[in-house]
Amino acid sequence: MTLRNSWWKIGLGIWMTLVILGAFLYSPRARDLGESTRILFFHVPCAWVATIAFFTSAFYSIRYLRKQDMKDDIRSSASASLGLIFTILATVTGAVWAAEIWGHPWNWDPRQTSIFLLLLIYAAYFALRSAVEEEEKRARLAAVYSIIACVTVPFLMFIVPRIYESLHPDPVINEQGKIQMSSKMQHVFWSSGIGFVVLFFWMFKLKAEIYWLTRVKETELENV
Amino acid sequence: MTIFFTLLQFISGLVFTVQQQQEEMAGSDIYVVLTVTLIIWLGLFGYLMFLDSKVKTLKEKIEAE
Repeated sequence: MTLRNSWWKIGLGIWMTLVILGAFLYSPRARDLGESTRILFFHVPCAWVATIAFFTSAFYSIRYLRKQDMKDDIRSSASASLGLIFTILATVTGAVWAAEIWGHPWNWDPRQTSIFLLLLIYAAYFALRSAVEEEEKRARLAAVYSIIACVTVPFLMFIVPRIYESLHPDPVINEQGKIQMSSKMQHVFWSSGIGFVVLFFWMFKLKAEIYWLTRVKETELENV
Repeated sequence: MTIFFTLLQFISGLVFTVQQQQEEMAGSDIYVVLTVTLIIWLGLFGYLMFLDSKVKTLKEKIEAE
């Protein structure tokens, strides 16, 4: 691995280390939230990255249906699996935060219920993939499912929690269009968001390459 | 080298800030959480770097075949 190709990866390593240090040492505590404020810098970016991952998955699904290229199916699947991982991380960090602030980790709050539904929807995506053996049929069905599943993401992530009364604090960009955070908190928050997005695309690239290499090797073995 | 010295400067500045804050937050468990979070991140980052180089080598090997 040359330094020329991996400068941005080393940069990300330093960037995220600084974000973590900033989250604990630089950012002030929010009123009424105490030290649990720090979870914000990891919980919200996880949810955002999950949304990006599901949209990326749908994008490659559309591309697969248009071009019938197996690489697009692999990319779609890799992105959906990362989306599921980040959704689980957002759910767990949210539950830890809820236990601290609301007194109980799980309250079936609209936010918690909608993220739980999203987990079920994407878990079903992988159940579908594992249920179909024929490669092209699996890719086609999974692509259609991924597009339909993606339609539910904005509703479950952004619309449902805004319609119903919730214990969850206002979204970062609230109804008044204002960000109610101190400037120091915002520095860490946006830096964390950028870091998480870059981290996602790195993981996505790696995962897609591993899936592709596995497929190449399996095809070779079948042909022997 | 410039990057190395900038990093060294940053780390020494950070150590100073930590020492200052330690006085304000004496007895707080926040440093334990910070340490655990940093270890998890550095572990994950190291693993990703390792995986990245392995995938690259494997890709080159398969392409050469």
